[in-house]
Amino acid sequence: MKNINRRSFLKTMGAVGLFTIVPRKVLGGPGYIAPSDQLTKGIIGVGGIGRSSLHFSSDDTCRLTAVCDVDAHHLSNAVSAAKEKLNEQVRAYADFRDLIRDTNVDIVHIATPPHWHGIMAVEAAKAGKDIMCEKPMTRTIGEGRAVVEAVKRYRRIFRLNTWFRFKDTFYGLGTPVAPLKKLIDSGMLGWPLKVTVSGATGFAWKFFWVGKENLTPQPVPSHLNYDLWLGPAPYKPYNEHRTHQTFRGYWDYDGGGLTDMGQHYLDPVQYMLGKDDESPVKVEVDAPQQHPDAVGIWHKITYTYADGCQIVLEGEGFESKGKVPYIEGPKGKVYRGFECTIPDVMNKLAELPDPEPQRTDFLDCVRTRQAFALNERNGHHSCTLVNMGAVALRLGRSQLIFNPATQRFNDDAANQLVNQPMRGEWQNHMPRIG
Amino acid sequence: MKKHLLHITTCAFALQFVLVVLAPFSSCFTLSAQDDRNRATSTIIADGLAQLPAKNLNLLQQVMGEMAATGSEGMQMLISYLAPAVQGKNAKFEYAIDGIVSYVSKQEHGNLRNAIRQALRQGIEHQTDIDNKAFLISQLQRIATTDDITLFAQLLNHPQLSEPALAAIAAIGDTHTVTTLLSEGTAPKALLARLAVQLPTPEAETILLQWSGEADPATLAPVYSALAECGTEKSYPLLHKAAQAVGFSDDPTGATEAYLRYLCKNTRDSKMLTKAAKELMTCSVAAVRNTGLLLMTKALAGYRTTGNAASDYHLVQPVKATSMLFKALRDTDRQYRNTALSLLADAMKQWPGEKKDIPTQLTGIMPKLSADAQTDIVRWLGNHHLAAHIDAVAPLMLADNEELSSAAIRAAGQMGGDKALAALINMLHGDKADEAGSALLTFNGNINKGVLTALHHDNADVRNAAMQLASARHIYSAYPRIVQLLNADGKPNDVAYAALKGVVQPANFNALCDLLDHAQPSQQQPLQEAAKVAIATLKADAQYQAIAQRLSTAPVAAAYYPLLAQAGTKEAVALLGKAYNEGDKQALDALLSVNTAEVLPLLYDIAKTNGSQRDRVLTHYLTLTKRTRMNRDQRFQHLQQALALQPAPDVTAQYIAALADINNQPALTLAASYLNTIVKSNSMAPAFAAANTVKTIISKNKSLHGCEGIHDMLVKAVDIYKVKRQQGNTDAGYAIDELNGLLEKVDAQTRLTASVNALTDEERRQGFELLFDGQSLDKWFGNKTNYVPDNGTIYVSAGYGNGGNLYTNKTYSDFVYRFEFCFLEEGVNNGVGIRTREGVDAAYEGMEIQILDHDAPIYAGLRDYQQHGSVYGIIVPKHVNFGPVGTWHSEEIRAVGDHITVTVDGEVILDGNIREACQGHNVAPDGGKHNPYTIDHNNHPGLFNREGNISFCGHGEGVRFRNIRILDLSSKGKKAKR
Repeated sequence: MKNINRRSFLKTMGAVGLFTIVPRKVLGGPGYIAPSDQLTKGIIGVGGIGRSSLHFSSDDTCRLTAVCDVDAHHLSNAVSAAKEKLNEQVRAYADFRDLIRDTNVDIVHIATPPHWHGIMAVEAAKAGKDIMCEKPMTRTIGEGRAVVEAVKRYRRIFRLNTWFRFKDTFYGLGTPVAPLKKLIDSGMLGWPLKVTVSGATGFAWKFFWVGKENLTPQPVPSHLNYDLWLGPAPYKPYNEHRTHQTFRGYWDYDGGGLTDMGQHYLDPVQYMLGKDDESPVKVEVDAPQQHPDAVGIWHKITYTYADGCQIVLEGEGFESKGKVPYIEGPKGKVYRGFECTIPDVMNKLAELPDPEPQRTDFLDCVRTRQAFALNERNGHHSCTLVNMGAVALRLGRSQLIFNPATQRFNDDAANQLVNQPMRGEWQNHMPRIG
Repeated sequence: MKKHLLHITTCAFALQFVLVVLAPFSSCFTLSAQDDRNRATSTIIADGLAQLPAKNLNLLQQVMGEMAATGSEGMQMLISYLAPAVQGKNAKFEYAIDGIVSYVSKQEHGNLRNAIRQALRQGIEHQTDIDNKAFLISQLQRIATTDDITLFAQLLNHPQLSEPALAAIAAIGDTHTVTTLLSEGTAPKALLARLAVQLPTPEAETILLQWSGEADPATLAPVYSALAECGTEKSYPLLHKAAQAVGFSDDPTGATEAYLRYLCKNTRDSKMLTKAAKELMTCSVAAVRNTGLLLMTKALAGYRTTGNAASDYHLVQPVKATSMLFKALRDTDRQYRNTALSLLADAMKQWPGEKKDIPTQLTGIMPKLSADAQTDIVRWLGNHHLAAHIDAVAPLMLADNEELSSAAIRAAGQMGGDKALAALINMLHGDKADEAGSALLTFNGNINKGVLTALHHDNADVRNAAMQLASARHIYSAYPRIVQLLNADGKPNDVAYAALKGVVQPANFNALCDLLDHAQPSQQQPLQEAAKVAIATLKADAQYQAIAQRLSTAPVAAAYYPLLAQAGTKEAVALLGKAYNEGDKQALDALLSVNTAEVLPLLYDIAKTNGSQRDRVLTHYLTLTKRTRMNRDQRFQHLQQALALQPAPDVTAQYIAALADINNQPALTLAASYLNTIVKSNSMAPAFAAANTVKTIISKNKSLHGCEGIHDMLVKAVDIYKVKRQQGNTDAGYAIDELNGLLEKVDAQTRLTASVNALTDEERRQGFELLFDGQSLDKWFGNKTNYVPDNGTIYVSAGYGNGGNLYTNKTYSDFVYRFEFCFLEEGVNNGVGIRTREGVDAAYEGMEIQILDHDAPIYAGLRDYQQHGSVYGIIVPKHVNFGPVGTWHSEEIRAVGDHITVTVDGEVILDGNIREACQGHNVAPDGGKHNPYTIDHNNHPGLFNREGNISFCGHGEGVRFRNIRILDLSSKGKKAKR
């Protein structure tokens, strides 16, 4: 986009007949980037998603200036990749607190396993950084509340990094969310609605992301700071399967496909149903018994909102036979690929206004201090969906009642999982809320 | 292992009356149900363990309910089974302990909680393995009471267990404890302070204040953090000083955060708060300034809560607060200004009476502010949909400041209303036309009226933009006007042509075709599109009829190809095929946009003959094959014949991926044939796709596990995923795990199959009789529901608690009984009953020769007289090592008088005399329940039975039998042979 001639840019756009908001970076004229417009970012966790080309980038609008990892191999790889691919001399940190306190970093990108997200987001907020956090937002409901509170108190800009509520067709669904939102808002499907997220509607729950039981302890590799990798998580003897990539299979750090992919799948549903400020009142689970450490599979999870809307997750061995509607209402159904039982639905929809524009340029949000489309507030709610399911699943409860106002369950053991104790000093950073 | 069947006989009489009354409804009372209540604790625990992990939550509740009911004895037993964690063998026990704790943590099972708690407490005290201890602490944590605090508190000084102990104390949630522990101060201060962070108490403050003199940041941080939670005005000077000392920066002691959190909690003293906030507002840390502003707002507004309800507050000086926030809008820092605006939004929501005033005042002061601040306010007005203030926003659309004008345009769209609509329409020309257009597309309300007016606007740009909007919004009433505008300036207007497709209906079709017939080549495409859309809602045949009618008179038939493609009927495809065969290149493009199955045979022919277009054609062919309704065989044929044409690697890969949905053996074999391409081809895409398809089909389709070559396929797939893993693919590691898991299953299955059920020549000569021919259970009676012929074996699927045995039709006294058995899963429990009869417990009424996967961890507490091959409770066998699950073992039981010999896999493991083993006392001489002469100290009244049936005593699923044959050694048997 750099050096583009603005006038010709606009003319082309006009001729194509597409209206677009002109990116802020184009407005300064050819080749011009105002110094105040150049932001800097640091990435914590450069082993998996943090090293993907999607995020490991640097340009005139936002430069990568620092990286951090507890694995010395990841860290040195990232430093040399930054040099070779991005021509950036980045600062390398082994401890995220040093990156967060680096005054040359504006935006902290949290790309660690989920058990770190809450603490790092709160710490980054305290240090006055704006935050981009990978999904799931937090590993517990309590941590989510702490993030919301800290971001609000210090007035930071927070982006949760899943994007299907405003961009792309997601997974196997074969349609972006905007027309679905429009359809739901139009009332053509009736109310309340039931949304089914399953293999049959195009979503794979990644059941191979499970943990191993009976892990035998192994020596900790010298390049890994295992203590800091664990951080707030309970101490468990090292086994490589716990860390890097396969951490998803352990409750201490994540929760398998449900929690690791869940927010990708459920956040757009929450947006469509208009439940951004709400949580369900009930979660029901059908699953085999879960091991206390290793995540296993599940069959079905059902969320019910106070108004009767339902979200049904169909997992292993529970895919409804034949064609399953993605959205089902009293007056109509929608299947994957926007196949709808309402005749001529596309033309009817075209006649209606598009959903309210969302702010989807994170850097622009940072500059103008506007809330990002998917932020700490609605992100916490879609993450709570995921975490409610995980709580019921871990405890083997076929049903739990949830109070959205207090964010507590009708069950003592379940409430113990709302705020989970943190190891070592990390508890200081995460006071109990609620 | 011994199991008590049918012990409800004693109460059966009492139940008889009930049974008569309830019989039609009460299958649960039928005598065939197994009563678990008389099982020994060890049996209940072993049975429970064998069913874990429970396959569903109902079973989980049932199993855990049974185990939990054994109380502290069962839990102690489970804890005693825990091996040192380094051995990695504890999963089953962890499932059980965690499950039981979960079960008793439910309110309705609270009566069982205390016994389990006690057992866990003892376990924690007696376990020596630290990791197991930590595990038990974390379990006790979930059901702990204040009585457990002493136990946990003792562990606070333990180097490895202090963390789980601390977590447990915090979970109990008793604030009194915190006070006690803090005042005792025997545990590390940092640890205790952390406890106070989680459970703040007023009493803790005094002690924490004393500790604030510590120098170590690791101790100071939790002390500050705890004071933030429980501090009163006494803590203020300390926290203030600490934060001030670090310049309100974020330092390792967390002083600033603690100070701010303290202030947010203690908003009652508005004088103190005002002073503190003022200082923060002038500090150099931007984020802290924001909090300062927040606190100042609270201080000035002084909304004092008099109760818990959110509405129950009393505003002291709202005006002072809002005017302070208005003043903040003059700040040069955008962050600060937006903090003020968000606080004003809160005020608007929460302070009664402020709703109207705040926006009005804002728009009032707006002109006096900088352009940047105006931009912020405009965005704010838009975000809150304050349509009433459009008059303040609309003029700003024309502002010189780029950012401000853009913000005003967007805000107008968010606000909606006639004024905003008119203003945005007027912006549809010039530099900001695009942004105005975007705002109109997402306009908060209907835009039709404005758009229709704009179609007559003087400015051509506005008219064009209006046409685009009319098209996007399907404003059908705009059709006549857009037709007028097609060539209004004497030359074709591209925008008008492109817009047509959004405003046409079936009635316009002929008019559009007229235009198409006379169109310049450059206008053909949009007119074709419009004509297509016009009839798109008609049925395919009707579409074809309409097109065919026009075709007869059309000057250029090719102009109608795209329309024919959309109709996609047999006739339409035939017409396009004919044109293609006559060398018309445009026909191919049309054929490739046909979305009906009619075109499939033709596409295949083209792919076969037209090498240069093959990949393009086959890509569409695949799309249609996937979409078309056909059976699996047909679908497979389509994919197979396309792959035989050898498309490019990426197309090949797509086809291989599609095979996964077919999910049968031919699909598997075909996909597997591409597993080698990784070495042959430059592109790895087909091999990757093949590895995934092979994995998917094999994992979904268990019936294929016995097929030939499956093992090799899986091994190759693993190799391919290893390459993928090297390339950094996230899922590859899991895929390898999954493939290795499948390999284990497949290999076990291979070992199982190819079973032989036949006598050897030798056996035939000796007079053995085959009791199972691989298919029929004719020579047996009893539970034929859970014992079923499967794959040449007898498969046992008896669920726990509803067993029932399988018996030979004939009875035997002296005999040689041979069979093979195979455990399909760990911990299987069965047995061979001999000299027994239907409906009794063979172990006591007759003999039971134990069949048990006795090395499974769940049998850690097994007695030697319960091992595999034992004459249960009477004679101890030699220990058998079974090797991996899924292995077949041969066994021979020879019974001659009192002499029993058991041979497993060719080795004699038991050879003894039952009468000698109990010195002739199969029952206690004193008639009591305790029999000192048998090893299990039980009475075995039927031990010396002379004759009886032979049975399989099922106790759960997961075992197969085959090759069952018997030689009757009795005189009766010999007679029969003759």
